[in-house]
This record gives sequence, C-alpha cells and structure tokens, in this order.
Amino acid sequence: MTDAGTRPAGAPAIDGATAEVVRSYLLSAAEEMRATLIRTSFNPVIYEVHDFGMSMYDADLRLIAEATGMAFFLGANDYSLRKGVEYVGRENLHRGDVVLLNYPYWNAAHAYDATLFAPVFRPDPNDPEADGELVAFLCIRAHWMDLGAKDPGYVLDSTDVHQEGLLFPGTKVVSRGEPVHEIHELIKFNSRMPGEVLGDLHAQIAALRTGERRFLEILDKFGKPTVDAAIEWIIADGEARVRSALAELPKGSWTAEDWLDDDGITDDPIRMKCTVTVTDDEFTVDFTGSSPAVPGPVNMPFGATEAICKVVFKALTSADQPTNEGSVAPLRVIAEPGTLFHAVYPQPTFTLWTGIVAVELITKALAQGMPDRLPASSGGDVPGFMMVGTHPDTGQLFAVSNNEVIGWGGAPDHDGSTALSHVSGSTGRVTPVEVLEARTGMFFERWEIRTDSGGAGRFRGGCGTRRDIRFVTPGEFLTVIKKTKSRPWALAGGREPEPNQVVVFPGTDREHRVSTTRTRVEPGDRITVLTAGGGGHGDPRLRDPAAVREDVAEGYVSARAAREIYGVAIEDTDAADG
Amino acid sequence: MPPMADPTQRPAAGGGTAGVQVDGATAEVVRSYLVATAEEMRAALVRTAFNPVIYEVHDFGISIYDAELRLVAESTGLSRFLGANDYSIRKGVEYVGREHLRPGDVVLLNYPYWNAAHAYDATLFSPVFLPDGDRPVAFLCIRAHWMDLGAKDPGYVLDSTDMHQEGLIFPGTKVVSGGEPVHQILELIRFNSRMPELVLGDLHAQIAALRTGERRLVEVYRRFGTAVVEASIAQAIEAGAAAAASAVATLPRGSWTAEDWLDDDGITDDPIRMKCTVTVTGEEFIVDFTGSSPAVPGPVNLPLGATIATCRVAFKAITTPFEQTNAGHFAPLRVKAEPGSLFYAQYPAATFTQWTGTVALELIYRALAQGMPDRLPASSGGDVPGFMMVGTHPDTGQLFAVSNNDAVGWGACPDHDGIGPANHLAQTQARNTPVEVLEARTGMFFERLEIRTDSGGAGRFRGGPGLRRDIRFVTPGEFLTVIKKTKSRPWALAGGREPEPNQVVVFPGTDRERRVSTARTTVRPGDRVTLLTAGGGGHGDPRLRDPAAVREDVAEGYVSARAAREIYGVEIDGVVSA
Repeated sequence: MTDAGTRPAGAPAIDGATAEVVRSYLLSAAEEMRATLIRTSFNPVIYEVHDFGMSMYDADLRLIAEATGMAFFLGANDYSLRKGVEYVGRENLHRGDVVLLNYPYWNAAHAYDATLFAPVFRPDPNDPEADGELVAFLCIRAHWMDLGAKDPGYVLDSTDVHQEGLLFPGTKVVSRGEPVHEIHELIKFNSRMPGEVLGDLHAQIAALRTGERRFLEILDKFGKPTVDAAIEWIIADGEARVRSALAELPKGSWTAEDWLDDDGITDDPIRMKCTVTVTDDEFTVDFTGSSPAVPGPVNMPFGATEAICKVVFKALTSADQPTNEGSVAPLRVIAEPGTLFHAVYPQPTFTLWTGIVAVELITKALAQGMPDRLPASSGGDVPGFMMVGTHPDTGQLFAVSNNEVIGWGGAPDHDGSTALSHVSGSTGRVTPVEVLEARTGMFFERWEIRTDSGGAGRFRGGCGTRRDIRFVTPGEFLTVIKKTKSRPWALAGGREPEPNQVVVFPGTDREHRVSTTRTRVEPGDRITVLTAGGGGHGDPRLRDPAAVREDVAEGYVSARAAREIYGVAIEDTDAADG
Repeated sequence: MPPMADPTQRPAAGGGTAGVQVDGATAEVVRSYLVATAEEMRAALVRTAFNPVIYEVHDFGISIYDAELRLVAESTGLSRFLGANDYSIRKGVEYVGREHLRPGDVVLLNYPYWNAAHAYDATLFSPVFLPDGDRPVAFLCIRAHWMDLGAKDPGYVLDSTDMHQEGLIFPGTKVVSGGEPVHQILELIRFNSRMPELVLGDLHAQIAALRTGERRLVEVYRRFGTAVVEASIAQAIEAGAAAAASAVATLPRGSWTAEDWLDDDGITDDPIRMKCTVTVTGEEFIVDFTGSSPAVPGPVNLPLGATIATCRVAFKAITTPFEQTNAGHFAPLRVKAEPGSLFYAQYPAATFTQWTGTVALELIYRALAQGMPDRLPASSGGDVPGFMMVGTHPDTGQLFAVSNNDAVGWGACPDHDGIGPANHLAQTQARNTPVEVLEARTGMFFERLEIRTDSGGAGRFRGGPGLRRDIRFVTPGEFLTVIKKTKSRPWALAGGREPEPNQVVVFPGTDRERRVSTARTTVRPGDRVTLLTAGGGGHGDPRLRDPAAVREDVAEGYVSARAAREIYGVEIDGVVSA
C-alpha cells in the first residue's frame, strides 16, 4: 500500500505500511515495558510521578522506540547505554544479563537515577544453550530513593561525587539470567531504604524482560530481515522529517543568558549562557560562556546537557512524532569539559535542576530568532519539595517528594497553561495529595491557583499555585528550586511575574524565605510554597477585554489588576479586589 | 623433621583428633610455626601495603583461626584489632555461609556492627583448604585501615549521623572467588573511592599476606599431619585457658565502678557519660557498661565487637601479658553492654570515630585500680591525639590524606614513673608517622616536636610527659584533629596530681586563635597549629618523691625548677626557675 514516492531518502525497500506496523509494534513494546514498571515499582516517584525513561535500541545502539517518561531521561538513556556497553565490553555481554550504571558522568544524570540495560539475544534454535545473535538493547532508568548518599532523601550541598551515593560503573545485577547475589546484597547494605530500592530494581528487570519477550516476538512474527529493514526505514523517516523541519526554521545565531539562584554551597548566582545556531543542516547549542563548574551539586554531566538539548530540538522540529535515532541527527551540543554544562569527575552533580532551567534558556535564545513560534518563560523551574522523617505508623524512614506545578509562558497566539508540570517534565505528574499525606507527615491546608501570578500580556502567562503545608510529624522539609531570585522573562512587551517563593514558618518570628534548603520541622510548623506563573506575551493593554473579564471571573486575574494593568474595569466585583 | 608424635597416640581410624596427644615439644614447635606464619603475613603486608597508616603506623591486625574459628595465633598489630578480628570473622562466616566458601576465596567485610570497627578498617578473611580437602582446616584474617571508601568527607569522618555517611559497606563480599579476582567488586571499589590506587593497593597487599599465610599453614599441616596440628592447637588453647583461669583466680574478688566523660560526639558540645563496672569472681571477669550514655547522634558509638576487643586488651594485660594470645586466654572474660547504647551501636548508629574505645580502656583500668591499687597505674594522657591533613599535593595534583596518632605520657605506677611520650596503651604496637613522611606527603612543616616540661602529673611517682608539636602549613588544605579527651584531666592515684589535658591550639598568636578538639579546620599556607599532648597522672604525694629523682627530672627537662620547688619541695641550685 506504499507510495514509492514518499519513501524517505536512503530508506530500504520496504513498504510503508509494514514499516509502520513494525514501528507501532516496537512502540507498544516500549509502552508495555512502561506499564510493567508502573505496576511493579515500589516507590511513588516512579509509579505516581513517572520519573523514569525507557528506550529500545538496535544492535548498533541506535534508538528505535521509547515510551513516555521524563523527557530528558530519554536522551540520557542514549548516552549512558553507549557508555555502559563500552565499559562492560560487547564481548562480555551475554543472554540474560542486566547491567546497572549510575556513574554520573556516564549516566547523564545523578547517581540516584539508576540506569539498567539489557542486551537482547535471539537464541539459535540449533544451539539453544549459546547466547545466539545480539539483536537489540533495552534501557530503563528510574529514580531510586536511596543509595547511601550523605543525607537521606535528596542531596542539596554535596561537594564531590562520593557524597552522592554508591556508584555503579556498569555492573551486572543479573548474569546469564541469574541474579548476582553479592551485588544485590551490596545495594541492600548500602541503602537507607533497601526494600524500596530492591523493589524498584526488580521492577526495572521485570520491565526489561517484558521488552525482551516482545522484541523477540516481533522478530518471529515479521522475520529479522523485515524488522531490520523497518528499523532503517523508521530512522530514515525520523531524520527526513527533522531535516525538513530544520529547513523551514529561520537561520541565524542567537545568544541568551540566565542565572541559577546558587549552587547550594554559597549564595552566589551562577551564570548560564547558550548560543543556538541554526544552519541548513545543523542545529548547534553551545554553552560556551557559562560558569565554570561550581563547588555545589548543580553541575551537569555532558550527557544530561545533550539530553535537554534533545528535548528542545525535538519539540521544535518533530513534536508530534515518536522519537528515534534520526530525530536528533542534525543536533550538535558544545560544552567545555569542567564547566557547568560538562561536569568531570569528581564534580558534584546531584541537583540536576540546572537542566530544567537550561531548557528555558535555550528557548530564550531561540525566541529571538523565532518570535512567532516560542512562548515566554514558564515559572522557570520545577519547584520540588520533599519530606524526610520517620513514619509514626511504621517506624520506617520515609522520603517522598513532589515536583510542583507552575504556569507556562504566554505564547504569540494563546495564553500559557495554568498549574502544569514544567515543560522539561511535561509527562511527569504531581504526587497526589493523598499519597503525600498517607506516606509523610505533611497535611495540606490549601492548594489553589494563585490569582495574578501569571505574567500579564496580550497573551497571559499561566498561573502558579499556592500550597500551605502543616506538619503533623517531625522531620526535615527539603526544597529544590533554583529560580527564586530572578523573574521569569516575558516577551514582546509582556510582564514578568513574581518568581517562585518558599516561605517557611509564615506568620512567626522565624519566618524567612528559602530556595534550595533542608529545614528542620516540628509538628504544628507551617510552610507555604508559591510557584511562579509564566511570563506574559505582548502588551497587556492589547488583551481582549472579554478575555480579561473571563480571567477575573475564573479568578486568574484580580479586578484591580484588570483595571490597573489591563485597563479593563470590572463591575460588581470590587469586593474581590486583592 | 618428621612428625614426632608417638604412633600409639595417633587418631583412631576415621580421623578426628579425639584422644590424640602430642608431646609438649612438638606442640610448642607447631605453635611457634603458627605464630611465625602470622608474623610472615605481617611482613608481607608491611612490605606491600600502599598507604603509610599500614606500613608506618601498623594500623592492622592479623590472626589465624582453626576450623571452629578459635583464635590460634596472631601477629603484633593494633591491639584492639586483634580481638575485633575474632568477632568479625564469626559474623562474616555466618553471613557468607560455610557451604559457600571455597578454596581460593577471599571475603571482604566492613559492615561496622559485624566488623567490630568502623567501615574504613577493612577486614579480609580467607578459608584455608588442604589439597584435596573439602572443608576448611583454618581461616586467616587481616584487617587494615583503608584511606577512602567514599564517606561523606575525605580523610576521616568526624560528624556523621548515620552509617551510610561513613563509606561503602561490604557485608561479606568475595573479592576473590576460587582464586579468581571478582572484577565487578574491584571495580566498585575503584569507582567509589577517592583514592582508588591506595585502596586497591592495600587490598592486594592484604590478599598477598593471606596467600603467604595459606602457603605456610598448608606446609604446617603437611609437615606435621592434620591430627598433630589439631591436637597441638587444642593443647595450646587449653593451656591458654588454664593460664587465664589461674590468673583470674589470683586477682582480688570484688566489683568496682568507674565513670568518665568523652568531650563530645562531634555534633553537639555535650560531654558523653561512660560508665563501667568490673566484677571479678573466682572464675569470671565481667566488664559491664550499663549506665553509659545511650547511643549518641555523632560517630563515637562503638559496635559491640569493638567493645569486646577493648575489654580483651585490658583483660589480657592484667592476666597473661607475656603469653602469645589464643582463644583460651579469653575464656573467663564476659562483656555486657545494652543494645542501643554507646558501647553497643546498632544500625544505623554512626561509629566512625572509634576513640571511645581508646578512652574506655582507661576507664576499665580506673575501675580496676580501686580493687587492685598495687597493680595499676594512673591514667595516661587519656586518649590518642590524632591529627591528619587532607589536601591536594602540589607535586602530584593528587588528593592526599595522611595522619598521625600522637604520643602521650603514661600514668605513674605504684612503684615507678610513667613513661612518655609513648603511644597510648590502646595501641602500643603501633608507631607514629615519621616527620619525614608527613612532610613529604602532606603540606605540613614541623617547626618543633619536643617533650613538654611539667606535662606529667606530679607524684611520688611521676606521670610520663606529653609532647608539643608546632605545625606550619605550606599548602592549603584541611587539618583534622581527633581527640575526645581535651576537657577533663587524666586522673591521678593515691594523692598524685592530675596533669593538664590534651590541647589543640589553632592559629596561635593570631586573632583567630582558639582551642579545638575533634574538628576539621581549613588552613592556608603560613597558618600554624600547636598540639599539646597530655602527660600521665601522678601516683602518690609528690612531697614523698625521692629528691634525687626530682633533681634528675629537672636536669632532664621533665620538671621545671619552679615545679620542683613548689610541688615537690625540692630546691634546685644553680638553675634559674622557668
């Protein structure tokens, strides 16, 4: 049913329908791995928040399919799988092996994002005992709760990688189908939460096994030559699509700067700079001019830097297509070793929030060249919080987190979305209040959309939220936010909203604002988390008055802001003025 | 030399040692062979170890066990390590399971609660099989201090609050399996250590020493025959038990209690109560730590095995100090400590700073001195004043962390002066780190190292003097001190005087001058630190001291002319008072 005329350049001779069926089969195999992981994992950061990434590769380590997960985990898998296979050595991989890698500089993430990968071998029916032919690789990374880092929960102020947990450079946790007992025991003895961590490890192994079975089924069903040809077709198709999208982008070079609040060690802001250059056949993101690596844990492994660039590039070029190796072919990423965006051993990397803020930075550079395509800044960061303590019901250590929602930036032709996960983790989810209340000592007195928190503009930034927490057990409250000191940027004359704010002990003489910190809390203490809205786009005076009236009716904008900023007088609502 | 056993005393058919008797000469030859084996293991370790804490300070313990894990022989090393080996090898064999131990295996254990020490004292043990044997005939055990396993801070940990901040934990992990190095485990050590070359070098030195011991043991068994060796061991242990029983029978009977205080736990400044009651009956010698502080947040808690090891040092010294140690020598000793208390740390209590055991040794003697005033001295300087510098070496660009355990004065006895400066009685076989090593491998320059006049407690018999060490730093880095007795004076006996406690003065003569005890101080080139170690307590009224001895003290510089006049009542002619 194929039209030879639409075959991607360089694609093998396979009809498009068959290729599409194989591609969908591969994608559904990845999605089935995802379902297995969600159903079997032990910690809510995986099964509620979806803080994971899973990918399938061919025997040459080219990405062929992935499932929805944390956006920048997916590109990270590409990097770490290559490093892992190189470290272990292809010749040392056997049927049934599962390898664990979390060495940050290879892992393209911090040490608590545990990457498990498995080679897929197709047994030879004539020699079923032998490994058979290596036909694919599967990779799943997911956030583990504890590997014995310097502090329980999350690390905010490490100064070298050895404070960040037990490191695995590429260690078999399953060898030829047999669990490697001593490695499992090392994890058990070196984790503060071994039940959850080993549970998640086994969930990842189960998901890898699911993928392995499905991949072998695909080979049996379609035959290896057809599958091979389909993979070539899929990758060529991916590349053809992004090259054609790239051709339509404006050409040029644009630079943007922004600042992280601090590195967790001193209060000094940290400079981030990036230059995006678009040519006919390349899309280059260059972080030269950013800060050298800093003492605290906000440095990015290079693979993590590549991964965030992949998120932006993909969103810009083939947002509605499944990702494969071809989808990022034109992308080049440059960062000097030893700088903020290319950490080298033993620089600390635990707080990966730099990558979140850098997604906005790349967008900020691009917006100069493509003002009609890009929105203003979102709230600018993922306002993360976590409570660590001992659960009164179980006597066990708990550490449960939430990545709070923010407002998205106003776009050239529509408002930003309100109270949504950050663009870098848009398929991640918040941790439900019910889970947080059941598994920690937090009680939520209020969680609401913040009136006037979105940047005003012709198209308004989405609103952030306010969350009032009262503690019912003692413990530690951790916040991870690296954008509380500078405002989200606006575009085309829009207004910049207030930045994220965390107020501890409000209304007491201990009240103060914090950003990334670990605060000791006692029962009865309160904390308020105010997340930022998105930047506005265009002059607010040009906003459609009907839209302003609707904003006021919905509570996104106060009557006073409507009058004073938008120039729209609202009748009968004076009482609601803030 | 053929076996000298009488043929009529050979074991009955079917093997075993029941009924086998060996003549005393043969038994003594076998026993000496075993001790020589341990000493040869020691020589192998000292010659091949990579870090000076092992090859200069002799911070290690080497022991040989029979198939029932009874101590058979040991070589000189850190006294408290030897008893610790006995505890940890039992835990290690139990954890791994006898049935999983094969010829050629070497197992690594450092889980503090089993290791009877902190995690940086790495215990390696191996089973010894005879050729064609299917069960181990003996076990060998070597513990030694490793420089880094990725704890929260480089060098030494002074303020951990749980075990996971104290380094990578091995519960009993094979580093060699059936004679083959376990690549994955060695790689984990390499990736998780800040000083992997030193650590892996020391690991291999320990393996080499175990192999040396294995060869020699197999020789002993071949030369004398299993039955003769086993009978000799049984005789040696019986003789040890008999000697210990007879020594205990001659001790005064009674029960005596003593208390003392550790400076702090490294987290708060609160002193920590230690209490021990020693009870001697006709058959038993019981050391009971009931009444001591509960386990504290900081890392001064002792694993039970370390507490037992401390008690063994005191017990052995008081009962059979001149005999080479085996399992029999400890038969009458009982040790009691409440789980969860200072002397019986349980997971996850912090245990890194083991100075508690050093101070507790004096505490046991203090209790005993009440019942045996004619046998026991006053307190020594009371502790091991440890210091270390951590930094980057200007010649190599590599991290260095080199320590020294400084010398103190010993307490005066009922019939002679205390010696000094000498290593603390908890580690009399250890040595200090030579100035040449410290200056070559760190950024410390030693301006002065001298005996401190008047630092020994006055008395009819004088406490030994401590020393003064002036350090000037020539490179930047961190200067660590570990001393837990700077606030309370070493105790005296029978009317003797208490000397000044240990003191560390950082930045003397500047406006930053202050005293520290256990602390991590950032230093710059040109900064100075002075260490003043305490002398021992005095014994008896100083006015009863032989005036000739006082005059000699003054001539030698141990006592000033003023102290001679004012404290001892001895006028020194021709010497200007200090």
